[in-house]
Amino acid sequence: MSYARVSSHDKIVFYSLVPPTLFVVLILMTLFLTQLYHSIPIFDVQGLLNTYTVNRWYPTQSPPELWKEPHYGLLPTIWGTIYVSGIAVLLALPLSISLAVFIEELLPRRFRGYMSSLVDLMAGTPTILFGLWGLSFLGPLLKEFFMEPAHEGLGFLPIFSCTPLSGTSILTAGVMLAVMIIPFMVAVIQESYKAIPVTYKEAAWSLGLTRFEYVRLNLSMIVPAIVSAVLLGLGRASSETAAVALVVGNIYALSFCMFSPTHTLTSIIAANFGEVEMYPYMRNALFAGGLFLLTFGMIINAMGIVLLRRIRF
Amino acid sequence: MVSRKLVDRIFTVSVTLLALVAVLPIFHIIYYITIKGLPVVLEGGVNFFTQIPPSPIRVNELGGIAPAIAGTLFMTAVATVIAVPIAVLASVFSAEYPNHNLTKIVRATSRSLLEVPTIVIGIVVFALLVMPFGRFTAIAGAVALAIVMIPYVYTYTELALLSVPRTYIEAAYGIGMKRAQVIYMVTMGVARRGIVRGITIAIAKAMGETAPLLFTAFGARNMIFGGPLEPSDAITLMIYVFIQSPFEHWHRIAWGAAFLLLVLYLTLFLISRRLVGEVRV
Repeated sequence: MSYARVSSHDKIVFYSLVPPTLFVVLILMTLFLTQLYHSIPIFDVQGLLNTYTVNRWYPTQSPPELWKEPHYGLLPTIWGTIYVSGIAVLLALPLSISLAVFIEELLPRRFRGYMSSLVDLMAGTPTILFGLWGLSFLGPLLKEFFMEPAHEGLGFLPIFSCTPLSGTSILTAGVMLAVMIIPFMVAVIQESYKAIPVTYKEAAWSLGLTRFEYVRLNLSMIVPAIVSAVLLGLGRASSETAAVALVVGNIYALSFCMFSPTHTLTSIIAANFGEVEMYPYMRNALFAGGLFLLTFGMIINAMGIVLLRRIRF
Repeated sequence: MVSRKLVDRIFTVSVTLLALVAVLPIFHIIYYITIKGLPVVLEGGVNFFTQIPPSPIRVNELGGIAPAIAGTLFMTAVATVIAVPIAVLASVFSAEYPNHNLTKIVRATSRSLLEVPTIVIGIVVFALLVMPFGRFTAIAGAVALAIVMIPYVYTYTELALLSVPRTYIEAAYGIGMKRAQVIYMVTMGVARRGIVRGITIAIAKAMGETAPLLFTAFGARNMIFGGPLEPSDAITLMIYVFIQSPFEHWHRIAWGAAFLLLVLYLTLFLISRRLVGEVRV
């Protein structure tokens, strides 16, 4: 504030708006500090590193003095989150780039508004509906037409090595999440694509490029936005809870096979938090999972924003 | 030269196909939920909206989802009442003092809040509002939903306020209006459709959330609504619990509830589409 003269009325306006604004900031700090506060007991008992690197989950009522080894390791859930979100982003990226290019370059102008509305519609759809669809339609479909044939034909590959027991699996969660994150990734890519100056585009056309060459050139100018879309997609995929918990199988297992069920950081919280009263330190371990998600989500988010700022025309 | 044209043709076809694959699922989800859910709602009729769900052993009863509807309405309404004033005032601050440090901080905060996993919001509200009182409450659920809503309302309102033409604001100051009058009568007046649009989008978001309610409102289905200080059901929560149950007739109720949720969401979406975000001059 560097106004030469600030009237008392203006001061009142200013100071009356500060509390709600600070409150919004406080919410984020509260989320972070509360998680940290409730995570500390489990770090004290079994060590911070162990909590995130041990492959072992034995809820126990025995006091921690009697623990011979760490009881609450989050490693398989971290791996599960990475695996599931990785599949989601790998599938969603080509689809998102294509959809963004399709809307901007191939679709007749008068239909663009409808297509963008459709993307917004996808982005806001209650996630439980995706979960319901993933559980009753997508899972069985993938099992019959992809998982079983792939296991029989290519079962020697580690990622296809386990027998698909049901439609709920790492793969199902990954494919469902791909569908869910597409609209967010499209929005980021499309916005940057639109921002390419017309003069650049006209210059590209004037070289006599084919549409393919022209689009490839344009995309090469917004690589940071595409990376940013990947990061945003990873963030969205790793933080989704209810839909994932319905299709990921909810079994504590570290697996490289994508037909196996697993737990993610979010699904283990959803599945176990209701029982924390029985196991004294399980609540703290689950908060430690939330803390991990929140911290990494923010790092990924910050990286995405920094990348987007690097695009300058 | 032929090969360049061929590559271009292949490119056009594959981009079109991939774009169709990207949007196909949402159509199928809408179709699938409608064919599974609509017959259930039709079979239940009015009772589907006014009765409580049957116990698992009464396999021949369909019952209704009244507790879920009441809980969703109550918690979304309370969350809106909590979130809107905070988020709108914060966005007024950002729009009025765009270069202030607090504006930069609150913008970054809001962007981060949009990305916070909603289950994290749920367990933090559990730690702060459920643990100390020893009970799950509808109010705790509403607070969790309010935290979900705040960054949406903030983002859309700020966008709407910043799009108000400077000339309107200068004209208002020119006729001697004070700052508060300009903000509340001119800027917000001109931007009101954009603000309402942001609120509508936030309500749609809150209504569709499951994770923040799991350990705050928790769910209660033996009566329609127990009050703000009792556990409460929600449509999403009910779908989540019922579809994972082993009971066939509970699955059907979950599909009926999903269809209702879909209709509510599509309605709010259409409303938000009709409200233009930016001011047109």
